[in-house]
Amino acid sequence: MRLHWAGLIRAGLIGWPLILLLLLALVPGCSAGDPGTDAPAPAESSALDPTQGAELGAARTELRHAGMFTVTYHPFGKEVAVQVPWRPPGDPLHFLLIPRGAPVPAGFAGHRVVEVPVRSVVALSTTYLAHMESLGLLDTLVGLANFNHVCSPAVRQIIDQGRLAEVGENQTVNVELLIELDPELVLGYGIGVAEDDNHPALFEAGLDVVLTTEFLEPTPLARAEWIKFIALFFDREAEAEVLFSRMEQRYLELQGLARDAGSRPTVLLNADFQGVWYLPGGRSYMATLLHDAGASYIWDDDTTSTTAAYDAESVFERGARADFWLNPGQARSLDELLSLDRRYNFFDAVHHCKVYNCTARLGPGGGNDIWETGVANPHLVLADLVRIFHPGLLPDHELIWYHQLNCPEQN
Amino acid sequence: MIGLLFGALCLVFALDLALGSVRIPLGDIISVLFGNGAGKESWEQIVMAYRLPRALTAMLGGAGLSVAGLQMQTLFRNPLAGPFVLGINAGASLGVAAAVLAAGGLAGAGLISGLSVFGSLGAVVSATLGSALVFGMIMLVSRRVESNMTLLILGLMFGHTAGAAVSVLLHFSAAEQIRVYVAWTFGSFAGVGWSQLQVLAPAVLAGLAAAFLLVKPLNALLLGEAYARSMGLTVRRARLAVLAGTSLLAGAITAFCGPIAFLGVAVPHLCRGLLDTSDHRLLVPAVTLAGGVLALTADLVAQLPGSQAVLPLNAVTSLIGAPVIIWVILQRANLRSTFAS
Repeated sequence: MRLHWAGLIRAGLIGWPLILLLLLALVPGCSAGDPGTDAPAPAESSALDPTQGAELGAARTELRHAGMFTVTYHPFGKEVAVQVPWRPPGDPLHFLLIPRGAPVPAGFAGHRVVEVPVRSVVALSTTYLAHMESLGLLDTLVGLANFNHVCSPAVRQIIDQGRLAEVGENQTVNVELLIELDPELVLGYGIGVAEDDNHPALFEAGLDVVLTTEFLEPTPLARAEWIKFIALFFDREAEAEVLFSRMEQRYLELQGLARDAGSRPTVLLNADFQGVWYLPGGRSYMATLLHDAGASYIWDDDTTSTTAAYDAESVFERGARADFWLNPGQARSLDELLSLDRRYNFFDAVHHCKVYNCTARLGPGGGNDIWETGVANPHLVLADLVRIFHPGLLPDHELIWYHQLNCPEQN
Repeated sequence: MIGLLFGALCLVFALDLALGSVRIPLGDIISVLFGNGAGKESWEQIVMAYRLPRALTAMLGGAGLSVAGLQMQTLFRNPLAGPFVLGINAGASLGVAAAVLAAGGLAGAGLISGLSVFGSLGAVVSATLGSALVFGMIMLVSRRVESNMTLLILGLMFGHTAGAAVSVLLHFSAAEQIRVYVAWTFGSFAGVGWSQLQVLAPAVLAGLAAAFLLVKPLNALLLGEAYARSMGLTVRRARLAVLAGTSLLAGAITAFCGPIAFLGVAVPHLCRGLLDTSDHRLLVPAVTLAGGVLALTADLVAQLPGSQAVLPLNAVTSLIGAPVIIWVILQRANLRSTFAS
């Protein structure tokens, strides 16, 4: 565990491209930057009230988009199956959720059992925070992987009050601290790469770890539907259904609006790194967002959902004439972008100042809120993109996470 | 043989320009090179802004690293020495790792945040600083240490120390930051545009020129320091010049292209085998040409012409280079005659 980095670097010469690609695939193109100002919650999301106008009770979770987990209701509890990347399709990890104090039913001895509703949680990724916040569950939070990544003002407030423990991420996770915290649930993730994953160590320590794979869902609605997954552990299925249905409805409305827009501008993503562009596939989360926002991703004909490395000249051939360019690495102005590589001058989007980055909302530690609040509110991310590609359709929408790179001529 | 190598260099250089992920007719490429434009505007930009600087970088990088390797093998009279034996690349790696971590610390989350903050420009600056640091230490030490063997061991120790520091840095950084670093270690000739070539080319040409001027001292050093001294050579000054030239070559190329493995160690052996000589008057030009040929070939293969995908350059240099070298060495076992002491 301690000596593996040296081997990793050596192995990196050959073995790492795949790992790199897999990991880059998890989060498409956008990135964080300089520590920014406080990031207040997006206007529309906070308007959702989980209890409003819904029949709450013994609701059962039904999934409409998410494909990486399933729920089965039994008389004695809920059985959750999560498909993880290192196991073949159809062979998920099983978790059994039983009422507090109830005995583990016969035939489920091999399952990982969690007693619900859970009263204390450690979240190893910030992607759970927005769901927990909108379900009103933040008071169950006892620990986080890395405070720096957090954007949510509500969570930052609990951090500032000293109520949370920072347990470390990936291989630097502090297992002893976790054992001492003794949370009833650790929400974590695994990608099947021994150098990164910490769940084997956590399982071994006897912690109640549940792994999520929402990052493998290829569509924004599927990723957001994981709010229902979180809700299962707190018996909050009904609230989650209400919250999700509203987002879904708004998302589909916007999608319809953009579909009828008439034009479909072409879009280039990400940026050059030493002659290589890491681009999400044509069926990826980002590509789906662009498609739903009424745009045409230049790699639309690709049928994969994972990120791949492309030669700079092939990206140039396809992307130089693209109408828009999104998420060009870290640059916050066109001048900055061009200082990284003069060849960006050849791109039409640069000439027409149609370059946008999703770095408008960065937390105090530099975390990008689009991966926290944005992923949990796909209708708002979509609204940002529709506003960019078809400004006439949403004249009143103000960009939340995206911002236009300022043009030198406009200064 | 030198003529043959030169011919091969011209051929792979032309191939590197002609082949790529985007299919461009040969006629258009020639037309672009003569300033007449191509059938499509994008083709002109691809050839001029991407392929030409890339091919030039590969040629310079391969030649520079190979000559640096030859000089180190001769200076230390050790067949395993290479351009990085003094720890220059470890210094560069340390610079990059520190920059990635610092950038990541600023940027926080976001899986590829470090990568973007840092960009390829950041890599160049930090790698240059890192290798300059190691270079400075070597120069300082070489003034006080008489024996080349001691210097060799000290260089290795510098390298290990820097490597250990990298490990510690990486251990405390997030997975996404490590990935940026790992991507840099893949090596690439493609990150270099014309503006970077304006720095890289003079540095490499200066280093190569130094090597051509140093062929006589190098030949003398091959026979041992005592013999060189008896020939009237100021060993210390020659050694300093060789070290400076090598560090310049290895530092500049690593800064711009990442730590490119293998070429520097292998090409000198290839040329000794092909030419059956250890005379630097022949070896230096031969190694320059052969280094360029191998680097261009590796670059060509790494681009997987016809596909949009790319392979890590470092994997390719070793995969295509190693069998060639093994074959040559087994064919003509003249290592002993060169390095016998």
